[in-house]
Amino acid sequence: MENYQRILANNFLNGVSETILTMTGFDLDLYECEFLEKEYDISGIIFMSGFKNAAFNISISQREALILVSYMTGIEQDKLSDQEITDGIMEILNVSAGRAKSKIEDLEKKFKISTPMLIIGKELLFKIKNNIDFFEYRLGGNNVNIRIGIYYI
Amino acid sequence: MRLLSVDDSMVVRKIIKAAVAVLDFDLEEAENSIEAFEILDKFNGVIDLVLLDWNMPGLSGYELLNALKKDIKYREIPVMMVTAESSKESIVNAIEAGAVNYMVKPFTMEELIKKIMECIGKGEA
Repeated sequence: MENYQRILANNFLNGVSETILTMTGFDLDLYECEFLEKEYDISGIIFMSGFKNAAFNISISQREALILVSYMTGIEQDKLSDQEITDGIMEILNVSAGRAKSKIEDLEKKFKISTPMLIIGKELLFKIKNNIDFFEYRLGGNNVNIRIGIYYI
Repeated sequence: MRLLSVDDSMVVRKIIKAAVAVLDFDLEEAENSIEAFEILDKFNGVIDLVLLDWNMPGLSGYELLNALKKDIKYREIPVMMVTAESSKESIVNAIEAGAVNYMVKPFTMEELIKKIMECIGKGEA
């Protein structure tokens, strides 16, 4: 069971990394998460249910989201609407979870994924319940840092 | 050439629009199946390719694909799925339902252009 948690987490991490590389050209590096208490402006979550139930989270600042979505769409940063920015982050989350799902299904484990959801605000602080299994990382580079969390329910 | 993108993500439609602009084709955009049918009716079914997302509010892309293929007015329009759904089962189901091609997200602009050209018979199949 623990092995599948690690596989699923790795698949999601790779999914985020590959999605960003393909859609923006940014080849980000993966780090163990060293700033759990950092505050974010956009935090997205998508749930996966099946053999294991998990919540995938990505969190990012508004400024960094603007950079990513600008590269995704080819639209200049000052011409992007708030809706386009949030839509772009939601798409990254959705596509990344889709990739994680398909890779784990290659191991003949069936999963369903929920619709992605975002919470948008100022200096959001991400907190989790004690005593749950989780993995947390940071993808960074090119002036972009994304906090990634995988939480098992 | 006139293409129709059906995707609830505005950003994906923008990316597709940019690719279609490179090809100097026209693109109509729909956020869901209702808007898709409105556009199909408006152009009397004269659409050269539908680029269809899978997971959308209302009818899913797969359901819309089936609806199009059952409708005598629209069943000849080629449909390419453009989706994060990448399981073998989804791909087989879509092709069996009549999709001519299947593009898994994420994709680069070059990959999308190549697939579009294949679908409209101007590229290698």
